[in-house]
Amino acid sequence: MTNGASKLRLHKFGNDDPLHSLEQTQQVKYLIDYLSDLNAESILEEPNYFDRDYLAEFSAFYAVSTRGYSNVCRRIHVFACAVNRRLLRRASQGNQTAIQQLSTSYLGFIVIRPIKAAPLGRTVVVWYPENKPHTPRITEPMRDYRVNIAGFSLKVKGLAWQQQDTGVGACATIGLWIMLHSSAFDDHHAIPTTAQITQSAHSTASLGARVFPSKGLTIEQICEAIKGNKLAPMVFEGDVKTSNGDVIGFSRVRFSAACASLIRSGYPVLIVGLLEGIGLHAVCAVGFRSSTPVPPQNGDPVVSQESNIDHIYIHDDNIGPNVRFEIESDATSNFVRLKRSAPPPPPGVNRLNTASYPNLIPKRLVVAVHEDLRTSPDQLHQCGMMKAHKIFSALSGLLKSAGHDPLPLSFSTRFIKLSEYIGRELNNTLGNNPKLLGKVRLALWEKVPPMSLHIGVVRIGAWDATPLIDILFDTTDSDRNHPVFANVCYQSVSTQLAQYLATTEGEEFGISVEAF
Amino acid sequence: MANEGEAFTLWNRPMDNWTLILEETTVTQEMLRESASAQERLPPQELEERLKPFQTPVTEETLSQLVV
Repeated sequence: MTNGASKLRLHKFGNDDPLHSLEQTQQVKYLIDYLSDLNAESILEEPNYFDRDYLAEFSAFYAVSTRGYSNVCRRIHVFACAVNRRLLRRASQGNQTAIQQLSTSYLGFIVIRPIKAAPLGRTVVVWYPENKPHTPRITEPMRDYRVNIAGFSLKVKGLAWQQQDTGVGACATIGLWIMLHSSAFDDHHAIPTTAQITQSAHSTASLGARVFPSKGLTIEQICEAIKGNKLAPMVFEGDVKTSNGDVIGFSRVRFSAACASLIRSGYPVLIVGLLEGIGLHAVCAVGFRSSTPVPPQNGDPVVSQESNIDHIYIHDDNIGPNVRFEIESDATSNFVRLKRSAPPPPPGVNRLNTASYPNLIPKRLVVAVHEDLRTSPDQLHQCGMMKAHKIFSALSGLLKSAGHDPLPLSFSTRFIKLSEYIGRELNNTLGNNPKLLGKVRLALWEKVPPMSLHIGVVRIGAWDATPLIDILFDTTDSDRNHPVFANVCYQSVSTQLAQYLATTEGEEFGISVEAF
Repeated sequence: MANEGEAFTLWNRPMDNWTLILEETTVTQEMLRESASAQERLPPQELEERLKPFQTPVTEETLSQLVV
């Protein structure tokens, strides 16, 4: 049968639309709930859409299946406004008012594949509105996706998700595919399809296993697939273990610090864990709700800001995109358990997806990072903790001598491109004082020896979130050599403390830049 | 000091809302040296304990684990 021409179709969001008409799986129900929360009103359906990912899956697997799969998908666009033929016609005529109306109410798109068992292909939906701007959701891996329909284009910011089909990709493949969509790799490569990922996972580490249908990947294969895309894999193993060394999971402080540092750096995190009562499962963490620094804990006056994170957002192929999970600590063994925690529905709205979902116990993390980034988040965190303790100690003496109480400190770590640190990050911190901002930027550019493309930043501050100092680390050396390029001091006391620790304890702080 | 009013993170607290430390004092290196005896320190073994979770190596068993 040949593919024929077909008109664009318009639907009211509800029972008869193409999404509601699919088999009501957990994923479909989740998407309906999610879009309902965003006040979805209309759906525009493209009945003929060639999807790059599906075409690769088709070419690698479905084309030779006797069932006779079609190579064409449908793509649906969801809007939080009424869309009729007249509005569509005006937009295709180039009418800017009409295009603007569609743009502002655009909630994203879903590719519907002609695979009955797993119809949900590439899906990108906007995030819920931000209601806590002071402790915002950190969704750094997000990117812009541009879609073109009949001569006008629309944009949605998010990160692609899709359902696993187990023909070409299992959950690990989908997790990898999501990771490689991150905006962090925008200037690096063309995003691979799921078929390419599965094939590159098998290119050097197959050991006799068949490629398609894909029954899953080993962590070695996941790492090989990452390397095949000219990126570097990082693997983290849970630090909470049984007496005979079996991994139980991650302590909260390590899990939260690693995920926050990586996601803040734009790197989604593949979480491999135990779905309680079911078995191993892989999901991809794409965001988290940032937290304020916490008061001193367990007698420690220096606390990682991220130890207080409560929620992490996950693309789970069993459920959908941006699924909120609560980070819980096991009461006895103190390992992390991720518990699905959907926000309450708006008044009068009933959730379709009410099925309970097992908790996930993360056991391993796998991340794709740029090849030139050789420092691990664990190492950066340790450096941050040690430097923060040194600063706390020197500062406490000074404060006590002046008749004040010691000041508990907090710290946070991240990797960032040097240009983005000097551009966006310093603007966020010092933008209220353009003269000072310019002075600091020029000093970093002119007074500090050449820095690496990606730097490790440790920000240390008071536990009321006042920053004291940023320490900028080289990321191109080994974890044993961990040179510091520079420090940016936000208060004059920070400069004195760094200088004092450098001279009395040989502590490395690099070139000091005054930002006060 | 307390987390008063709007709670921010270390990455977004507006600079006109920062707590200035020892603002009224010009801190010198000499003052820091003199105050050394008043310094508070976490015992080294306690700091080591806090660093330990971040030193977990990856085992062979992990790498060969099949994720379905």
